[in-house]
Amino acid sequence: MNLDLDKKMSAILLLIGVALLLITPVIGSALDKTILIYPKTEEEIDEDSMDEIKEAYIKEFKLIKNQRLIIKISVKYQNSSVHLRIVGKGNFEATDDKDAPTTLAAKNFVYSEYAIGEDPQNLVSSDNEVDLENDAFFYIEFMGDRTGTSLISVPGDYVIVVYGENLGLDDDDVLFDIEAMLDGPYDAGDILKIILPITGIILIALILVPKLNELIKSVREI
Amino acid sequence: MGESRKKSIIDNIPNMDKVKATKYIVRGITIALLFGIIMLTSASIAANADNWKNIADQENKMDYWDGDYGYNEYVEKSQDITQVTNWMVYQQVIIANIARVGVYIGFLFVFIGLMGFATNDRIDENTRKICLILAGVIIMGMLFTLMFNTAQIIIA
Repeated sequence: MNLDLDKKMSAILLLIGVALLLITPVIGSALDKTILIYPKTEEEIDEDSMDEIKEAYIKEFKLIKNQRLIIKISVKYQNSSVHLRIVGKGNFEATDDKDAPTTLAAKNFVYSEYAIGEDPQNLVSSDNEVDLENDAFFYIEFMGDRTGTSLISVPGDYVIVVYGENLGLDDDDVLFDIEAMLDGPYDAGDILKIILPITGIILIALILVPKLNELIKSVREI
Repeated sequence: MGESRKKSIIDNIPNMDKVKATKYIVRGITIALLFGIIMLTSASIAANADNWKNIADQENKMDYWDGDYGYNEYVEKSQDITQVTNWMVYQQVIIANIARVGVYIGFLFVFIGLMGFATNDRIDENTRKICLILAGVIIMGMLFTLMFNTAQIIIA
C-alpha cells in the first residue's frame, strides 16, 4: 500500500500515531465519567421517618451487570442525625410503609471516609447502614453485594432509603445533602482506551511499512 | 536456458566499486542507528517502569484522598497501574528483539560494504587491510552477540 505522502505529512502522521499511544491513559481516565442520577441538593425529611418508611427520603434506581452506584452523602446541619440504607425493591415494596425503616433488609455496601496521608486500606469500611451527624461525609459504593471491601455485581432494582432524627428539642426537620451517580459498566473512557492505541498503531504501520519497503528496495538497487 | 541467473549481493561483493560500498556502509549504519535508538528507548522505558509506577500510585492515592473516587475505584486504578507497569517492562521483550534483528541487518550491510572495499584492487593495500579487519570485527561482534546473550565489551 503506497499512500504517496510527502515527508512533512508522514512525519506529522507518525507523530500523531505516537501521541495517540502516549495520551491514551490520560484521555481514558479523563473521560471515565459517571452519570449523575440525583444532584447534590439540600434534602429535608421529618424525624417521623425513624418510625415510618413513608416519611423517609426514597429514591429508586436500577443496576445492570457491572454497574456501580456512587452516593456522596453529608450532614452539615445542626442537630441532624441521618441514617442511609439500600434495599432491594422487592423487599421495599413488600414492607408496609408504616413500618420503621429499620425493618427493611439492608444490602451491603462499601464506604470511604477520607483522611489525607492515610493508607487507603485504613479509610474504607463495609456495612449495610451508615449513620451521619456533625459534618460527616461518606462516599458510598454499591453494586448489589460485597465480600470484605470488594464489590460484587448483582443487577436489579434497588431503593435508597434515608431516615433520621433532629437531636434538638423544638425542631423536627432533618437536613442532609445527597448526590448519586451511576458508574459503568462501559463509558467513553473505556472505549477510547481500546480505539486510540489501535488507531495509533495503524497510523505508525501505514507510515513505517512503506518507508521500510522503500529502504529495502533502495538497498537492493545499490 | 541461456538466461543468466540474477546476481546476488554476495556475487557482487568482489566487483563492488567504492560508491556502492560506501552506500552500503552509510545505509547499514543508518539502519543500525535507527533500530539501536528504538532498542535503547524500549530499554529505557522498561528500566523506568517502577519510577513511573511510584508517581502513578501517588497520584492515585492523592485523588482518592481528595474524594474524587471511592475505594473500589482506587483499587481498580491501582490494578491498571500495575498492568501498565508490567507492559512497560514486557514491551522490551517484543520491541528489543525486533530491533535487534534490524541492528543485525544494518551491521550486515556495513559488513558487505567493508568487504566491498577490502576486495577492491583499485584501493591501496593498507586501506583494504583495515576494511577487512573492521569487517571481521563486525561479523565477530554479530556472531558473539547472537550466540551469547551476555556478550559485552567493558571499556573502563
